Amino acid sequence: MTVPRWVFAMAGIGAAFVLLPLVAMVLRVNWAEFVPLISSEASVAALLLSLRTSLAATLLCVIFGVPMALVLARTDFWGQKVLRSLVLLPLVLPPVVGGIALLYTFGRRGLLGQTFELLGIEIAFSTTAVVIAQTFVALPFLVLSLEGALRTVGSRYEAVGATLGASPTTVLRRITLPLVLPAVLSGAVLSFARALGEFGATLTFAGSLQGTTRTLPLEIYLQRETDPDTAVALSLVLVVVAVIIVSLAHRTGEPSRRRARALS
Amino acid sequence: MARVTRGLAIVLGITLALTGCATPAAGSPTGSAVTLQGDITVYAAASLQATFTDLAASFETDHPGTTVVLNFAGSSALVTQIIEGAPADVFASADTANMTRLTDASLTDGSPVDFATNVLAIAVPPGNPAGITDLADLAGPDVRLVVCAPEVPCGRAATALAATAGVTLTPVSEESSVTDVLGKVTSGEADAGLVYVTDVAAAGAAVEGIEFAESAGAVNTYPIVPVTGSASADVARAFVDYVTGGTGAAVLGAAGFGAP
Amino acid sequence: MTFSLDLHVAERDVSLHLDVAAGETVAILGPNGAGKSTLLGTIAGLVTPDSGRAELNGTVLFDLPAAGSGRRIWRPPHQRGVSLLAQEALLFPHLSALDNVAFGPRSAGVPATRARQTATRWLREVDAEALAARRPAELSGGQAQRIAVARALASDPGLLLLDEPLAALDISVAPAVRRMLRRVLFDRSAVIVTHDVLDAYTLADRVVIIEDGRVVDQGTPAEVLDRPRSAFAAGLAGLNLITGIRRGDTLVVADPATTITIDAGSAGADGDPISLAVRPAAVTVTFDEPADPARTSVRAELIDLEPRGDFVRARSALLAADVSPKDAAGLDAAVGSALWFSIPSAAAMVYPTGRSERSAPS
Repeated sequence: MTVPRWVFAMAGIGAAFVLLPLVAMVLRVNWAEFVPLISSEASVAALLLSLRTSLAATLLCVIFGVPMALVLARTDFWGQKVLRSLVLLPLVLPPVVGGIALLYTFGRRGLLGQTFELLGIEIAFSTTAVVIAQTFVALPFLVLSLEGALRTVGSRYEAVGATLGASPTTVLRRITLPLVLPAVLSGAVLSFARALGEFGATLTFAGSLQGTTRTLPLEIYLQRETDPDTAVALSLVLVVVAVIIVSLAHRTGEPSRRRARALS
Repeated sequence: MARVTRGLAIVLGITLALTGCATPAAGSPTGSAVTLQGDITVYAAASLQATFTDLAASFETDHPGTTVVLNFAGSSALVTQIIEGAPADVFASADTANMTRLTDASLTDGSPVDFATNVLAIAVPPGNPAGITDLADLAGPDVRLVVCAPEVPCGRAATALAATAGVTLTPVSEESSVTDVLGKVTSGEADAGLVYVTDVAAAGAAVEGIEFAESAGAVNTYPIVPVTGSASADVARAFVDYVTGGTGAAVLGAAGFGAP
Repeated sequence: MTFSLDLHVAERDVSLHLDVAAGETVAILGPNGAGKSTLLGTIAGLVTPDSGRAELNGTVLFDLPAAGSGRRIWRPPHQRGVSLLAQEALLFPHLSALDNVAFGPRSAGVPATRARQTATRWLREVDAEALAARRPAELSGGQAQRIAVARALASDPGLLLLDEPLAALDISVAPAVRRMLRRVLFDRSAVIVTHDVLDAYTLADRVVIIEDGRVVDQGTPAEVLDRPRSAFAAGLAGLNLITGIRRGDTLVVADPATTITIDAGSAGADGDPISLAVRPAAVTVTFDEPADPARTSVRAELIDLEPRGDFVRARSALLAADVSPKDAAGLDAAVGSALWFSIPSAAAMVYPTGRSERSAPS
């Protein structure tokens, strides 16, 4: 298909709309002070906390998201469609709403909070709360991309595996997961990126304390109050990390598309 | 191509209309000083939301032909926006530090006038589950205290207060705004929060307020000033006078603010 | 008896019985939609029938009594010892040829090294040892199918199912793969679904014809295909099939109403239903009735002439004749008029329509 010229024009406007704010931000960076700004104790603590919690959240996304995607893609039960929509809800939910919902679930007076308290687990204002908030918003990314990949790959290889005597667990381990591994990886990378950017739910649910709950986005939000230079510098760091992650996701995502084409 | 361009223009037009981006008729001073006429935009600290909403309404009633548009946010964010060129006619800050930033930027029309003070109070969930009675209780090891971060005015006040009172506070969270502190208290996540006495009043039954003697050690002063370059400078000046005058004092006092 | 199956699918009006003896290869032939693939899917455990029962070497694969009476047994696919080889090789794309073949033994708990030895042996068996290290993407269709066969056999199935294993292959490689299958299927219990009569002749000990969800005929390939009982089997074997009643030395056909003279020594007594099968190539078409006493002739309307490569098929409602293009040119003007279709008595096979000498299809 030859793309009409006016489509290029529209696409150009769209691209500028996305890119210009980034350029504008880069222009505001105080380069002379850049390194000291991003290497301050608070900044480093926020960055490390962000990386640590996002990694933990990604791990949880994989542990629970892969089974969720399998159940959604490979089984058929009453109410499945509704369940899928609900599971994907955090994608469209404003993060603050997510935070409020989590508060009423894991908070001290929440649905499960008292049970946790009895078990001696305190979630409120802890790093755990940050990880929970990040997992909540990031999980749908993994489930969505993996479910699509599972449907594309289809279940024919799994059927062959079963007739060769492989138990369902063996089929999952030796056939299904290797086949959708690229999708698991790209889904995990997307989840990590989403977790890294998580702000609203964390602010509402986990609080904000340096080294414990104040992730990079929260630190940026706070620094903006008094020290716009630091806020801009940290924003740039976050953008760079995000760009690296997104390009990684694209690279790992490609083989799965190639394979999908070969199958069809 | 021409048709496409026209189509684009229509799409953009509809978008602008839907988003209300179309430039409104700017407040036009009539040149006549007899009656006040024009629109002003007031940037006010978030803690002024309730009082300024009342004051703006009664100001409009007193001066038909004027419109007061209010924009509430953290003082620091507001100053940043004004310095970046946001169209504010009046700025009311929750502290002098942020007002100084505006003065330093030469964006104030005349000297800022202090119009209210505010002191900190302890907010606890209804029923006060942790049994807090005074400032010293907040330092207890099992008390989950939430304060504002030192980067924002209420946090600065809390830090100053703790220093003067000789109390070491170990908060579980340092929030970016009073709203976030109150949120943690009303939901019962925190045992206590340090916020302004006016915030406690505004929160109503959702929290209980505990005032304490040491609060006099950190009094927050609220200054107000017209911003330079206003298209309705006379209205802006009149609004500042209104807030600093008798009506303003009455409304602010009712909400828990102190006199300057 | 190695394997027995009773199968009922109400929705598709399928009701079948199938037995496979130890070491026997059964070919299942039938028109599209006759339920052949459903049959294999059911045996493999991938499709659940309404009701039915299957047993393999004394193990019940499934026992689903009709209308929920009694206990239902459903053994999952991986516990059946039944391998399914499909039209496409479906080699696992992330594993080498060797690891594909070793998959079955590995799944059965055989240690990796020994599983690979077994896999190598099976690769040798299908003449694909040299391909062991290759990924499926690097294999041709024929190579992939050889490895799929090795993979299916390496899991040591009690019953091997083959669903048109040669259909997707290039014409040039199919014969070699067929020869290989013939070798490995010897002495092995297998069910092969096919459209190709050649597969039936070369691979099967027994042929089962399924039409409309029922077994309509079965027997050795020669019995079923040389003396067809159904239009479908006759079509597969490339034979004209005429069925009717014996009256003296004639075969009386009801529709279109015709009488054909047959040899006095033909099978069947007076009044018996009998069939006559003849290759179209043996039938000749003439304007006048042939005087040859060794031929039996029928007068029938020439419906059309259908070119088929180096010959032309001249069709009537009763018989088809394959004639040379030159003869066809002479007949061209006669389409729509009645001509003489004649059969040399020596080329006509006349046999009883019933198959009393064999177990009746159930």
